[in-house]
Amino acid sequence: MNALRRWTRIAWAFTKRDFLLTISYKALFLSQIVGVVFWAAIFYYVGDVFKGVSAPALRPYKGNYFAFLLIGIAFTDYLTVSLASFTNSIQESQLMGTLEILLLSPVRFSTLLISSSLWPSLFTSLRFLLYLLFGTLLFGLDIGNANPLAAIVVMLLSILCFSSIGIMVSSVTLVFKRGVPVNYLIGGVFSFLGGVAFPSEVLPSWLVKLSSYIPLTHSLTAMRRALLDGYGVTQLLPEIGALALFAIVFIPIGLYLVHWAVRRIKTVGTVSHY
Amino acid sequence: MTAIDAVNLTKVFRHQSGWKSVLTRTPPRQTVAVDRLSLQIESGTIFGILGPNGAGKTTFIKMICSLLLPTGGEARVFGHDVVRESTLVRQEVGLVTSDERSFYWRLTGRQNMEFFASVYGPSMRQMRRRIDEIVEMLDLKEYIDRRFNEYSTGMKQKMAIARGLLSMPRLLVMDEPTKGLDPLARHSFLSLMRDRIAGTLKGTIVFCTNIPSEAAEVCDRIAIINHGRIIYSGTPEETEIATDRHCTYRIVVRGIERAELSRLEAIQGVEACTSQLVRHGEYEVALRLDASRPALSDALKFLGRNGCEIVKCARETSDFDEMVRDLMHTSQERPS
Repeated sequence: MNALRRWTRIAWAFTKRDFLLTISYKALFLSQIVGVVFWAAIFYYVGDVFKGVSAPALRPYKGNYFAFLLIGIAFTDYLTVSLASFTNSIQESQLMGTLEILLLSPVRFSTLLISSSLWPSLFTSLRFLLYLLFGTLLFGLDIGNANPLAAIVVMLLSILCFSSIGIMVSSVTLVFKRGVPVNYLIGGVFSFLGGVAFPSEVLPSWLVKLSSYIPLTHSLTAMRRALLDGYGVTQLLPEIGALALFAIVFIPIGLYLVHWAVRRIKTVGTVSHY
Repeated sequence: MTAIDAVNLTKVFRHQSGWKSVLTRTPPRQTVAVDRLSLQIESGTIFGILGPNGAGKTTFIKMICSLLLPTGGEARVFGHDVVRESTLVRQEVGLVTSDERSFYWRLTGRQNMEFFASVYGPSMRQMRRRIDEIVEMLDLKEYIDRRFNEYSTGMKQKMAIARGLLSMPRLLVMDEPTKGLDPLARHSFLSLMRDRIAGTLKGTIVFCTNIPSEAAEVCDRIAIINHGRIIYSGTPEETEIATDRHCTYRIVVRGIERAELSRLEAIQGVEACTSQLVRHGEYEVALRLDASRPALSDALKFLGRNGCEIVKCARETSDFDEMVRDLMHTSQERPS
């Protein structure tokens, strides 16, 4: 109980710190919110280009490319942010000199790292909701049948999967001081195979097979079905099961790698390097 | 009780110079930062660690704080092993660095303190009370709700101390906390450390500096590190005895010719002799003597034999900074 209370306090402190730092850059904060409207408009008009075009791959989505693209891009933010937040958090701590101070605290480094990703995840959820809100109010996105419970389950499992990949990359950042190239590579491969801007089914069959080994593919399929077709948790069990499996495998690997990386930088003496 | 017990503590850094050296299997260049260092620091003392840049002071304290893993030897903080029981060690230690980057500059002082308190302290309610007490003690009340980027260097340093005190550690480690401070701020910092921090904490303070006079001002005991080894350990007062390789006496004499005075240099144990006219017929002689061969009485006998009157004879007190420099110099001359 005490440990839970302590973790909640730490998580709250990190979220508050990151919120305060975010709003201290007011123009950037506002542009990230306002930018959602412009991107929703771009997706709408791109979708408009393909209106009435018969594309077999879009049939499961009733031929609505706008809805497909909006959910795909908006939800991929979770992947981008999860990958970047851990790396950014470590790089900022290295640059600002707070990494040593945090490593000196009697709290596990993984707890600190996970806490540092809470605000980015919350902010991404806010942006995702805004995408859906503006999409619905301004551009006629139809999510009237959406199953919110299923969408939340998919979102939480996706955050777990993406975050554990982010934690793995953060171990690279700790040791080599730069994790961004790895993020670009993972982000690029996942976006290409995962069905962000086009259904994965249009890819050659061997790449379709490969895409099923990527959590983003299952996240996007499940999220689109939950929001557009109102699929429930039981109907989404194959995707939810796959995401849960990814999380079970990735989380311990990520935590082990971070533990190893912290030990490594303490051995070679590069904790304060950047 | 022993606060720090280090036995043969060693840290070797290996520098691989790129992929080429990996492929050609060139062995990495090695730097011995801390070399079989053994040191005990008793609880409740202010202990100064002195040494030039690159002597191994920071490497030593980082190993003590469990921020760096030793290559060899072992160290315990209040009985906890710094490698195997690092979580327990971190509960006992507070660190004050001179790195003013280690705060969130766009947050206020209080927001910074509350954030660090959440990871260091037991409960937020207790922590808020403690923050208020520390703020009061360090005279930060007026500034604590201002953004950190508005603080002067002295204020930032006080914030670093405030953070180090948050968990009320039994061991407070200060790594060159006066770096970058002007003489006035440095003086007030040392007074604060001696009069208030030591009194409030009632624990052990390890104070790393490369300015010997600072250590002499506040520390109960000091250790001098050079090339990763301890070359001296004792009280600041004992340092004078340890460095007593030569001493200088100033003797005011009357009734002797200046030329006669130069003959003092011929006495065994007199390293140098200079004289200057003080007033008509009166000279001040500066006699530098080898401490291992006491030659003062021979010199006084010589002056007496030549019929001169000794008006004054006093030993010159040594400057602490000079003594420490002397010790470091001696350690460099000594083969390792």
